[in-house]
Amino acid sequence: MTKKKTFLLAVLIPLLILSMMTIKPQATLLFGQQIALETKAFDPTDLFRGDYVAISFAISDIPKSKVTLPSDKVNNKTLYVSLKQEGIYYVIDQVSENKPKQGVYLRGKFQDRYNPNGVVDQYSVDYSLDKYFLEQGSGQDLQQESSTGGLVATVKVLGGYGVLTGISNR
Amino acid sequence: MKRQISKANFSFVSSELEHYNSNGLITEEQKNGILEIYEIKGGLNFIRVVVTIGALLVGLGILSFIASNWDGISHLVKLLIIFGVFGGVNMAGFMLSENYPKTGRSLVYMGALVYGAGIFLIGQMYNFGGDFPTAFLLWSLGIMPMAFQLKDKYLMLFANILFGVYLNGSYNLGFPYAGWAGVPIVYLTFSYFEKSKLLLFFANLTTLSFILQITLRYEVKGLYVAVIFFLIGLLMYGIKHNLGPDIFRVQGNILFGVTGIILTIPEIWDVLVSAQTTRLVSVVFAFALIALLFALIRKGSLISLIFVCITIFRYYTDTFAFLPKSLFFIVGGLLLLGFGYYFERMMKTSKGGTLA
Repeated sequence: MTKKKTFLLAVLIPLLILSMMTIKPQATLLFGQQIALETKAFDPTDLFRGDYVAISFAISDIPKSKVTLPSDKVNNKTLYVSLKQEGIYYVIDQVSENKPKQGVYLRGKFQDRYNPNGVVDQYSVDYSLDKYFLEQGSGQDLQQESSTGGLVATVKVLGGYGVLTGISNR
Repeated sequence: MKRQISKANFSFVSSELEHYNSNGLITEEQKNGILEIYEIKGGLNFIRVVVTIGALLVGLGILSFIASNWDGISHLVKLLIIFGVFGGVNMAGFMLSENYPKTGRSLVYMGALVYGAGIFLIGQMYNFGGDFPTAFLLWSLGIMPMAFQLKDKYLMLFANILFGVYLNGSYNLGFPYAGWAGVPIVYLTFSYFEKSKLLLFFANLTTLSFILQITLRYEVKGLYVAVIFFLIGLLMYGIKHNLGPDIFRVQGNILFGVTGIILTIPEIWDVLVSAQTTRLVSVVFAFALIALLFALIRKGSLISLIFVCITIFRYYTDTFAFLPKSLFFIVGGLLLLGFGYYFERMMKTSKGGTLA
């Protein structure tokens, strides 16, 4: 290969990586099912991605009684959380190890949560949907609304993968 | 071809030759003849520094623009701008490489930052959650082809540092599996990048942090982690090879010094021995460490001297019980006096020491 061609290749590889990064989330935006989740929010900053609203979902706290799996198969494991609609929000239906055949479900990483008595009675689940990025300085309003009442997060879901598309007040 | 040495070494050689000349050991002609065979190595080039800093500023500006998330233009337009700017600066960099190599190269560096901005923009567009250490892995991967194409050790160094950020940032998000591939790469490419000592230094740091991640992954107890790194440090210091031995010696020396001092903390030993004997074990270890450090100081390792001082200081701040402390103070002082005596004798027998 000539020098020019290898240089061109070295320029194209990063562009290819950038393009590939967009495929899964863009496909989810286009073909995914939209669901609404109950959330709380606060407003920190990331050095490279700027201001965001950090949010926690109601479905991120799962009581131990909802999970039928033995506890050593839950902590630090990635499991599937099936959701069902109740009113405007989607809430937890059940937790499974394998990909559900149907319905709306999200993949999330489970972590033991201890109560003040040192007993695990809940799991906190990370769906990697905990950040909503917005223009610098505009997160305060959302934070205030969050403290007075719940916020609604809209999420597009495709095959267990979710993309957070918006936050609004109830 | 003339022998290339750094500016500092050249002035050292010429001042020494001047000294020989004034003592009548060599003639003026001989002195000039010897100086003739040397040439001062490139060093810092002012133009290169100016254009590189300029390019970095623009690149950082673009990164910051993305982070501001200004909603005057949509994400998609921003992404197209990133693609355009990335392609543009690289193209310009390539075309300038013939006639303006320094400016051309700085534009390629700018491209590396613009590419990173693109990654974070996509993270923003789709509201990726978590700490996003993958961003640094992808950043590192994306600029590596260009580092190879241009045989540019600074670009490779940047890729290496980004890879290190990925390794250390992945703690909560599962094991950084890419380390298994990345760690060999940084060594296999060592000779390709003209055996740059800078690259070797960071390659070793990357490897050490990957080993640390492995120990965290398998929840190895603190004591064993410290022991493992203590032994690695000793091996790095002691094993003879020709892959930049001085870098390995300095890093190994610092590594076993730091982990050695950590191992003098009594509490860390409680996984191995009963709570009553931890202090005894740690003190025995401390004496063994001091003995080892002194043996190395005798061979001329100045870094070991620093660690002897730190160990003594560590015991000084360890307790408010003043009587035992006074004992340590006096013992420490006597140790240093002993060392001074050794050092003086070393000079006398003209066994000059080196840094490591």
